[in-house]
Order: sequence, then structure tokens, then C-alpha cells
Amino acid sequence: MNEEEKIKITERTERYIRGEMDTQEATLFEEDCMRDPALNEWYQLQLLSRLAIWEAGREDQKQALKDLYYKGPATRSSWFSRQLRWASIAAVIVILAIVTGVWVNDYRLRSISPESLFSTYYIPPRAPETMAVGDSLSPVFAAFRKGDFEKVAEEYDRIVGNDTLSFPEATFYLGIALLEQNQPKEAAEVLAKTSFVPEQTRWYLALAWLKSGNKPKALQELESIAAQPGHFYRNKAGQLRRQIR
Amino acid sequence: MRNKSIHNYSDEEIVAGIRIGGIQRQRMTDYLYTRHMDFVGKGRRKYRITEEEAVDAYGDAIIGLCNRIALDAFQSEGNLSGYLYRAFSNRCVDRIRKNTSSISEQVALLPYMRTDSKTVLLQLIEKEDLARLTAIMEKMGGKCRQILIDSEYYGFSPEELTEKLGFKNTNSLASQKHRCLQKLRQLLEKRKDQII
Repeated sequence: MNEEEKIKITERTERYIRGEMDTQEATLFEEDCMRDPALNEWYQLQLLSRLAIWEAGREDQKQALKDLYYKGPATRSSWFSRQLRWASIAAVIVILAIVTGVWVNDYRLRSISPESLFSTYYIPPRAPETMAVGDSLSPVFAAFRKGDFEKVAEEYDRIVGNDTLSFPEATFYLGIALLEQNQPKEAAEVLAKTSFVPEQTRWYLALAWLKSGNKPKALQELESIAAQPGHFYRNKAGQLRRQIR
Repeated sequence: MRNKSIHNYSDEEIVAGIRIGGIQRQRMTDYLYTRHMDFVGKGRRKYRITEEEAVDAYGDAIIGLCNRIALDAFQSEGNLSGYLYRAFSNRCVDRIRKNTSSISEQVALLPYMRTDSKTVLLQLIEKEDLARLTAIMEKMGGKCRQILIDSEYYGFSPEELTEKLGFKNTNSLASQKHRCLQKLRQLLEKRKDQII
């Protein structure tokens, strides 16, 4: 079978598999398959190819989702163990407080610096996906994916300028880029302007205020998050709020 | 959809995004997955399975749901999260009973394939070692593998894929995809010789 014939047979077989033939044409194809073992084999190979691709795709996607679970920005993978750990610590603190007085507990909590709390809770968000063709924001996200945070700001200024409201996602990643460059106050001001996935944005905003040393504003954000049942960062916000106080 | 100022995607937006395919499908799948990750902890406690088993069951449930949506085979009177939780619970029970998802279920979800072709495919698989079949994809070059999976599984459009993989234009992508399919068929043919 030469190359041209192969292409023709492939196209014909594909049309049959996809159900794009009318009844008469499909019947003819089936009859040809019965008559011609080579065509029948080609048809079977095509079916197996599709299954092989599909199964490989499913496995890839499953692995990607697992990665998202274990490495995601706010994984809940160890939610139960974290709760258990904190419950144990809380129990110890209560016993100590009874024995030595509440001031011991206060002293312990106050001794944790904002910088150290920030480092404990800050996990960079997942980098943005590849954008569709012609997406004007691609350079911003490409720079973020590469970890070139200075360039994120440059591209953002070039493409978005002051039109922050129209580009919430880019504004969010600019805020994170500033946070990564150790400019927490500027990061907080930028994050406060974007409405992109508010659950995530408010959490990083609280962290930005914390890192900049503005505890009242950090607490204000954390209290707001902790008061929302079902909020993705509710538990973390509650824990962090207690540690800041 | 990307620039929309939103608090959460609605079920309708998720379903629409998944049906578009490509980057939207990946984004909505990831979003749905992240939104209900607390199911894993619930499943672990309720069914007394390991975290790994619960994560595995959750991944299967999400993929099953998204594939049903992509195939227009998703029908639920309730919301997506209710359906997902039921599917996840069933997968957890499968883990307890040590059941693996049946291949007939996977074949039923194959998109753009007439029913009688699916029947033929099921008959073919009876004579095949499925693991061997899927391992063939591992023998494909990384780029070929990605082109085939992105276009046939995720439903990336040629334009999206050209941009994503850095091809000059859609024609060069199409040529490469054609070569990749040929290579896959050759490997499948060789497999038969090896079995004999």
C-alpha cells in the first residue's frame, strides 16, 4: 500500500468510526471490511490506536491531578493530620496554661515573627496555564512561569498599564511577582485591586500585609476569610489569625 | 471566560468550558478538582482507606465526570458537586472491594466513536493485553505522545496546539501528527508480531 492509499484508507476508516457516513456508505464500508482483510486490519489498528491514546491521556491527566493535590497552592491532602497535630498542640498548651498561667501561651505566640509566619504559610500559587493563540497577556504569564518576576512587572506595565480592572488574572500574578521580589507592601496594594478568584486573592493579600508588617490589615483579611463557611483557606486563616494575635 | 471577574465558576460554566475542550477543559477540570479536594479527607475517614487510595479514587471520579461531560453523556438532576461526591463514594467502595474500573466503562466513554465500533473494540481487547497496548504509547517520542494526547484526549484545537507546542503553523502540526499516528500504527503492528 503506497502513502496516498494509506491516507485515503485512514480518512475513510476515520469517517466510519466517527459515525460521519450515512447508512448506505457505512454498510458499504462494512462489506468492504469483510471482503478485504487488509482494510479490516487497518480498521482494527485505528480502533486500537484511539484506545491507546485515550488510556495514555487518562493516565497523564490522573497524574497531573495527583500533582495538583500534593503540590497545589493550598493542598488539603493532610487536612486531617494537620487538624490532629494542631489539636495535640492545643491540648499541650491548655495543660501548660493551667500549670504555668496563660501568659506562657501568650508569650509563645507573640514570639513568632511575622516574617517567620509568612514563610510557614506562603506557598506560591500554581503558575498560569498557556493561553490561547493571540492572547495579549501571554508574555506576562510566560515570564511568571519562568520565574522571571521582574519581567512580569515590565510586561504587565507594557500590556495592561493602569487598566487593572479589565485584567484581574494578570493583576493577581503581578501581585504575586511583587511578593516574590520581596515588595510586600506594593504586592498588597496590587492584590487589593483585583477580583480574580477572590478566595485565593484574599488569602495572598492577607499574607502580603503580614509580610509588610501591617498586622491590623492582615488580621482584618484573615478574620474575613475565617468567617466564611466553606472558604477554601478558612482553616489556614483561622490558624494564622490565632498565631498573629 | 479568562478575564471574567468571578467569585466561582457556576456548574453551567464548568460544563461549558469542559465541552469546549483544550485549555478550557484543562482549566475547568483543575478548578473542579481543587474546589472539592476536601472530599479526599471525607472519603478517607468514612471508608477507612489510605490517603493515596482516596486521592486515586477522587482522580478517577473527576476524570470520569469530565469525560462524561465532554461526551454529552452527563445527566444529573442535582448539582455537579452532588454527582461528583456520589461518583467518588462509589470509587472509594471499589477501592475497598479491590475493584478496578472496567475497561468497558472506558471504551463507553471514548468520544466520536460509533457504537458498533466500540463493540468491535471491546472484542479486540478481549484478546489483548491492555497494559501492553497502553505501554506502546510510552515508546512514542515525548512530542508525538503529547501531540496525540492533547489533540485526541484533551481536544486542543490545532491553533491552540500550534501555540502550545511552538509549531510554525497548523500545517506543520498536522504533518507531524500524521507522522505520529503512522508511528503508533507501526508500533501496534509490531506488537502483534511480538505476540505471535
